[in-house]
Amino acid sequence: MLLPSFVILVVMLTLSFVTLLAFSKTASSGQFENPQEAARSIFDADEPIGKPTDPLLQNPPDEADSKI
Amino acid sequence: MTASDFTKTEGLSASPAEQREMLQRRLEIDRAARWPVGIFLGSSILWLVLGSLLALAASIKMHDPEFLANNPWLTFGRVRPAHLNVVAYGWLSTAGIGIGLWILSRLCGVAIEEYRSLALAALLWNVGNVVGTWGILRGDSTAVEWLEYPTYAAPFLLLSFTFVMMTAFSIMRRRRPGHIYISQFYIMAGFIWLPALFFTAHGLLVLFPVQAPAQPPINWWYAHNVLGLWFTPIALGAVYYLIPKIIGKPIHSYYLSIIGFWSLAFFYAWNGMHHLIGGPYPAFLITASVVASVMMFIPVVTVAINHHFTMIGHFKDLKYSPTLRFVVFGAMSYTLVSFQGSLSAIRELNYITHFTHYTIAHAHLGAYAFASMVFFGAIYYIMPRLLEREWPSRGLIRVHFWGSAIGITIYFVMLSWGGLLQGIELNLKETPFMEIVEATIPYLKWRSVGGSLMTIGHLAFMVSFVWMVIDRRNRGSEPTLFANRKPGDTKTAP
Repeated sequence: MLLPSFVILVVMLTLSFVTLLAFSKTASSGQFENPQEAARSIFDADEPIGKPTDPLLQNPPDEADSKI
Repeated sequence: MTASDFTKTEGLSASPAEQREMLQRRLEIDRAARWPVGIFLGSSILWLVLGSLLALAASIKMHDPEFLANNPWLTFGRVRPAHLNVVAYGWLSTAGIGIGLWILSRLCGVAIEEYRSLALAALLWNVGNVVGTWGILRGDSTAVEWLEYPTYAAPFLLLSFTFVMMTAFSIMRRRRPGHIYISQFYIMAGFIWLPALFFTAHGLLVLFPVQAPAQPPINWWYAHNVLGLWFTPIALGAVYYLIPKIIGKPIHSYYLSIIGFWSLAFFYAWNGMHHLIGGPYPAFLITASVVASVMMFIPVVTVAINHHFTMIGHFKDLKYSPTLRFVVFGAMSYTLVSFQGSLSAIRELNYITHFTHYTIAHAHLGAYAFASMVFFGAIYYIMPRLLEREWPSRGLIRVHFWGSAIGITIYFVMLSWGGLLQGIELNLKETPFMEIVEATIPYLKWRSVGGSLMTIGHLAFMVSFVWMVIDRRNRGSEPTLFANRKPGDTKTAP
């Protein structure tokens, strides 16, 4: 029981430490600031925000034909 | 507005030259990913079909034990673990790697440079799955649930995943400056968590098995975390990417997505012990797990609010986008399965549902209705971009969606109901055990019906995929690829 507990403990502590480190680094690098910009970062500058990027969703050429 | 006017849409901040450059960059990213990601996605579909057939065989055996009973390779004790491992490592993990790397590559804005080692990784991963499945069917199963692949399959999987991780880290290291989007957090976390889980559990349960009483906690720590810290982050990363991309709307609340990710990261690993409620283990271990399971309401509510509120006003789009249809079905199932999981961890309900078919239904709600449906949607989105051609048939997509959706609904409803009745009866001392077993048979038959519908859907998916790969004609009018490109047009889809 001692060895498995130890191994699991080491893995859990390592993962927890890495997670805490990642959290701290993420916070200190400003990733949690300006969520508006972060949410929009998914779109390239050539992609319109506020409109579906699928022309078939915006303006199906033939509604009956494009339904799936 | 026509599709060819796409890049002239109002509200764009890029000049025409910048727009061309961005389209070109996406094209380069997709071309670099074509072979390695394509192999991962294509082979995952073959594993999906094999896993479905094994599942059907196991399901039919539950109500018709004579079915395929004469061949030792196809007895229930081999077919059932073969199904579990084939869908976990062959289908979900293989698809998850391909989807995760492609989304990471797109979000980081850089092409995969390690495409040769990644193609080798895809090959090794598939060899590991072939060897593992063959090992189980020939009788070499380790008998450790979720880790039944024999020891000799593990090196292939671990070596392959090392290449996958190297590629993921390389993509992240070369990423363009700016914000790291929430999908990148989820996907990178999944790529880090899986090998840590697998290495620990495989070491302690298969390579150097610890004393028997210590094995179940490790086993369930692993099995539950594979769902929550591997399939879930990849699938949620895909949902957070695909829904906004398709409907052209940022997620409802980025703050909530941050809370959701970090609460999953900090609390999920404690969840597995709720499978041992009633077992001979320290009360604090189980109680900590029950508390952590209930705390899962936090990430689930944040994700649910984000996914569903982002979709408000766009549900009509489900009619036109196969990706959106599968992904939204998966996102809704995530909310359902997570709420159900948290509630099932509460002792009072667990005393009834434990050791019943209810748990099997719950597992399929997570692994199929959530993760698999999201992965289907992601593959429908990614493949046209990798191959620069359309899906060949709307009819096959329709068969796939409705087969899967109706199949899993029948499966989940009937097996949950049957499992609840089974659990109530098992707690009544006066009911003979065999009567309870017989009473579950109608529900088990319904399970086979649901499974058959899902398998039909998967066969349609496979035919669709193969047809798409071998048919080189340009099909610009189908709904899955956004840009209606003219012949010779080098633009890729957004």
